[in-house]
Amino acid sequence: MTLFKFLQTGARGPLTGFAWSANEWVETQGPLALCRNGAHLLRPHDLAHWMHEELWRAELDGEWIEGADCVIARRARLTERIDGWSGRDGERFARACHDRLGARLAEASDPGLREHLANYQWAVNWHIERKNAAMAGYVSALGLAQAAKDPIPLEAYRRERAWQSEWLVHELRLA
Amino acid sequence: MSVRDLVSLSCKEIVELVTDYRCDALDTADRVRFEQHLFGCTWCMTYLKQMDRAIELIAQLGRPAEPVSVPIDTTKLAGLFRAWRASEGRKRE
Amino acid sequence: MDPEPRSEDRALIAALRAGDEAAFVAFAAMHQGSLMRLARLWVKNEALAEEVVQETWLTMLESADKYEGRSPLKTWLCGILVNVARNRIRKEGHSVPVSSLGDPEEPAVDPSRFSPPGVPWEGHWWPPPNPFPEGPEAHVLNRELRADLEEAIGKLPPAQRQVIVLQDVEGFRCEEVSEILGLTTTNERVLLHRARAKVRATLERHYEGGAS
Repeated sequence: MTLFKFLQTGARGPLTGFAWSANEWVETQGPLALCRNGAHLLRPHDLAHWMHEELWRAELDGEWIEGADCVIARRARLTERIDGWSGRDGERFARACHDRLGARLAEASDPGLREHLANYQWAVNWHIERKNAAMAGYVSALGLAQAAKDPIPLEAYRRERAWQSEWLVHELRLA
Repeated sequence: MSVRDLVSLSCKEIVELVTDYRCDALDTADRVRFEQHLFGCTWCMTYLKQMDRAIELIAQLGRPAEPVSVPIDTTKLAGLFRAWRASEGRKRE
Repeated sequence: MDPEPRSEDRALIAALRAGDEAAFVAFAAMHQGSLMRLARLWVKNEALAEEVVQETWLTMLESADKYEGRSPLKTWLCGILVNVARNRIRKEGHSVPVSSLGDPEEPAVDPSRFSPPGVPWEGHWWPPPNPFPEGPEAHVLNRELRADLEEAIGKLPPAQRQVIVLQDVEGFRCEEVSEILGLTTTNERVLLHRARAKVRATLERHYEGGAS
């Protein structure tokens, strides 16, 4: 399996503060449990749901279970940092999200919808200026989902995230 | 509120869930949505960390800043215990 | 709070019932401080708090044979203290309002911190919150911060104050605090949520130099 992990700056887990080190195995004791126990790793199509400051390649060893938009593993380690995400490629991603909003705006005629999309474009741009690719992705997914005609916006939101994951895999040559 | 009905939780809703999250009271589906929001939304992550800092500092209120000025009166406690024993003794008679 | 050593708790109770004064004094001295702190959540001065705590010790000794070990001794003890304190208040005629959760609509964070309804950006932080300072000193209470936090906790409605002190100062878990105060765990979490939110806001004002 090709696996990844998003972490905060300094290779720390954002929710736990756990300090990861490249190539060092981390093992969890006790039964693996979704959301509660085990190393949290991402398959390519999971990526967009968990964007954060640093992107790393990772691998697992031994027991693993299917998580929600992730896998949960007994043993895991980071292998290689994907530096581009924290720099140029992150910015390209954020601009791609901005342009996607623009494309939707171009085909929208309803003034309320146009204003909505323009506002979200402005917000994405605000994050681009502050080099926060993860936020740009989140905001654009939200804006586009709310603009979609789906009765349940969640499906549209997940479709956007799926598009974002594919973009990352393709453009950052992750697979 | 059913989390699953929403596109993704807005920040205003997320902040109302942080205590349930830290008390481990969210069901799995809600927990996933909460965590996914936090990874994408730096601001709510900041809020959670602020909350954790508040809790970390409050915990230190239980440790006195200065040595206790009035030492614990163990004689009083011993007296209390003896009085109780005495009354227990009287009850048994 | 380790819930496991119930055997230690039961051993202590057995020692007390066997007349072991030294065991009682050691245990009581260890917990006197935190019981005093708790008593002050209900009564208005040190002297009254001391009376409540004395009565709590006596009640504990008198009901020692009723301790079953279902919960940790300290939890049971605090439950006794709460009853003693409440009875004291009732007797003295200071009726504290029945545990109210506060305004049912009260959100944890001031709604003005988020963009309002009708705006497409609705419900999101605006302006964004600033991270609290980091570094080793940032994790330690200094005198000024201690005063600010104590003041903030002192201003909380009584039920919120009781919950946050029991949970975040004294270290009891959600279920234990609920048991001690006679609340459902859901209500306990609501009270804790509101109390913590106010303390967090105090901390934010402290770091931002008074701007709210």
